[in-house]
Amino acid sequence: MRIAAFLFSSTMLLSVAAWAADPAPGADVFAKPSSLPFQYPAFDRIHNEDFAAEFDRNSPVTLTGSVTRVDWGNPHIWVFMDVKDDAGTVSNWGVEGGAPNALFRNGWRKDSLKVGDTVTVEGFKAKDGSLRANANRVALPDGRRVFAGSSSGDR
Amino acid sequence: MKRFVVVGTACLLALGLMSARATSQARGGSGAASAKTNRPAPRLANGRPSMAGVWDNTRRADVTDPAIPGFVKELPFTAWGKSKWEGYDSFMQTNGDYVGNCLPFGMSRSLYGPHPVQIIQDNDHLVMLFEQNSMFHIVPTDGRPFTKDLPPSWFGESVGGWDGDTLVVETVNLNGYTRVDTIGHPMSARARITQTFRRVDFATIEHTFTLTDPKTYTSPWTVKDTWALDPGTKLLEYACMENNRALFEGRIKPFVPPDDVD
Repeated sequence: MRIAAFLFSSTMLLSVAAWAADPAPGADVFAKPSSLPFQYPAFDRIHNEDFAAEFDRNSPVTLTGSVTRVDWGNPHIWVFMDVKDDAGTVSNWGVEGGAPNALFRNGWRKDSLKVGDTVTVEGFKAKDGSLRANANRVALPDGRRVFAGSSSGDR
Repeated sequence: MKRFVVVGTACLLALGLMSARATSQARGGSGAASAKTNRPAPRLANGRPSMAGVWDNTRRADVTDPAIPGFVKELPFTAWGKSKWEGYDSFMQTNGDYVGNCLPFGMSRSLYGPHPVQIIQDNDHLVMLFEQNSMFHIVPTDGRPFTKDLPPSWFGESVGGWDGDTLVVETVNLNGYTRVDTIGHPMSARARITQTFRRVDFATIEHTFTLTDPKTYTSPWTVKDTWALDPGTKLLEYACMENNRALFEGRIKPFVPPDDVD
């Protein structure tokens, strides 16, 4: 598989805008309920604690792979997945998601994503170059979004 | 879930309620509180208004954000306050982030965070239950004074009293380690928080948050909120440290408190 870091193009903007118009529960989704619908609510935040410490908004990444573990816990869930690169090498990535209570209130459950499920994650890579990302969106092959929502706001 | 889109030039009260409704729906709450606004505020046994309920506390990551009604137009920093504001990123890099360490968020960040708040009240107490980190804060309203020589703390010590039907809560004895909001506006151990709670009807509280902190700001400033009752939301446990991988794996440093906030 592909680890496709992609340009922050108009396509990405439209994709993000579509998500923002129907937001799932990442903490910062609550940030500005009266803001304009085409503004992705996390982008205007600085000082976002562990997001700012760990992840780089200028390094978007798309990952597709098989779920190996889901850690459903506070302050944020983590999803681990095996991702194959273009050379066929498989690496295990850790993807940080939203807060469990917020996810629960929006209909997601601890077992909504199962080991072996194939998912596509759109998010931002870790600053230190390790195999970690912060997820904006997590989608199943049929397009259903699971665990959408970032931890990039308050915890 | 339907996202709320604000159009036109609705009045501030309406904007506040609309924001609260959107937050309610984002939390999976009923968002139907406005149907009950015709009912009067409930009363305590002593005849005072009760603030009890789960409230759509306004999400306010930045108290100066003009998109959120009730914001502060400009914060009047002292030189010390300005240095703390501008140095927040570097402070977190050297001293760690208290939030990332799952330490208490303090009053304003608990009230203005993304997680719900419940108030329980009787004649002599108002209790705030914050889902954020499963914290609580008790405000005696029986006329007692502040505790003498109490060591400072994250939420400080509060006492409450009545000005007519408005509950006024004063908080002092803060440790000065918390920030006002997510974006990191500073406050010091000299801060005094004054909150007012007025339950204008069954489903609405008008709340104000005033910070008087002469070390950090040259004059007091006030944030004004309108909260809608959200009976459809139940507070859940939030055990912050259980999966705090960022701290466990060393990407966030253990917090070292600042030594210049007194």
